[in-house]
Amino acid sequence: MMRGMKSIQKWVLYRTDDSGEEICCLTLEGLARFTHLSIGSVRRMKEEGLIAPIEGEDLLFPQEAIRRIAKIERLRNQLQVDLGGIDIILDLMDRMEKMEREIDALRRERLLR
Amino acid sequence: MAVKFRDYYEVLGVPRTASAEEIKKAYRKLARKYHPDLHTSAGKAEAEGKFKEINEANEVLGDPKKRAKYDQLGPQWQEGMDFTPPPGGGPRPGAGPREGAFDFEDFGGVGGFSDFFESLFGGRAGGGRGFGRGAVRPRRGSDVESEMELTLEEVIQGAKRRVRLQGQALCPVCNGRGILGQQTCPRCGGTGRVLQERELTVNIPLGAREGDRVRLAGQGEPGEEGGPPGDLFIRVRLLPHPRFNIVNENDLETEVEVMPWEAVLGTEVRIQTLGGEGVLKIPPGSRGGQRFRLRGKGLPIRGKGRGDLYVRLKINVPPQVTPEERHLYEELARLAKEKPR
Repeated sequence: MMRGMKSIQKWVLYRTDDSGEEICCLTLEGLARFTHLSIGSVRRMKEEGLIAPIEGEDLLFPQEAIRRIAKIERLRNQLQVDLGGIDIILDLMDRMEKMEREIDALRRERLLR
Repeated sequence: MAVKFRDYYEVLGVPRTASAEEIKKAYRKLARKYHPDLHTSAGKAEAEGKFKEINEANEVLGDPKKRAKYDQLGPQWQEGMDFTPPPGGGPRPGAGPREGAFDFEDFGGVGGFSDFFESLFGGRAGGGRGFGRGAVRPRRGSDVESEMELTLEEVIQGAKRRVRLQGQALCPVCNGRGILGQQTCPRCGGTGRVLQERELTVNIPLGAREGDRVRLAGQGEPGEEGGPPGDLFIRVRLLPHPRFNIVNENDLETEVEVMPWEAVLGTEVRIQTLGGEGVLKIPPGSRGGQRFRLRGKGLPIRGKGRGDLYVRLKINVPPQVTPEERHLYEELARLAKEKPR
């Protein structure tokens, strides 16, 4: 690898997870590039707790953050919801999905009895 | 071709006499209710279908021209539910949705507008991507900037380097659309982009300076919706040289050591210049710190030759002297007319 080609390669880094599998992570700047947003916008999403870095890192994000940002941007642009509101929405959606899974599991249990 | 008529007023729940403001308000309310991101997997498919209808209705009723065209169908609609599009009303290339309209394809399983819409207003241009930002039109890819470190030797000769870059490329599976039929592309996960490493040869012309940018046209990020790719800019960083410092942009500075008697009596010193050698004539009585100039031995100036090399004199005092040398220095001290203090 030639010396000096830093700014592109520093967007993507590889880390090993607990199971020993190599996972592809993105830096904050990389995330901004991939989602066509400014670094400031991505940083604000992180500060608002809308996207979370991988464990043990402060500015390294899992690839799934791209899809989450896409969702955030859709809610922001299409429904004019601010970041605080989006945080509440996403949290409630997560809870609803969890509850629906639990209800399904209970229903299946009841049918089996 | 007969297609089913769609009553957009009914979809938005507004009367045919509704004002633009009323339509906008009704649309916003329904969009908030049926936005697919606000539904869990259980009701998502239904919400997506409804959301698509609402958007289609808003696309037409929210645009005065389209609304007027649509309203002309009123009497025909009264006669039956089937609608035959007027001649020339078929899909038109380049007819895209209105600025600010929702982007259905962002939701993976949702297709474009209905046959009714397309028979009346033409098809959509291209596929949708871009986080619901609105109109889909070819967009040039972003420019990318990178850095390359060069030695001063490479500055005077020019440099040709093979570089490996990791950047974004259009997904080869879905060709950047993010969807395959009705499914999210499994390769790129719907982003339309994949990470790709590629190798390029970069020519840095001689005379490059710190901060110069070399443009590699079309090597930046891929364009969207058929747009051209951006450019790759390589910013030059000059590495520090062990022997030479850059001064006044085009000149170099170095240091040469001479013995005290050489400074007093004068001498000629062979100097290592950048990319060659030169001879520096040191006149008798030269002082430490004095600067001499070797013309044309500095950095190349594009189309204008080269800058100069400045050589700073450093008097090297021998750390140890033999008894004979010491005797001579004592004799010199006795004979010297000049007093240092």
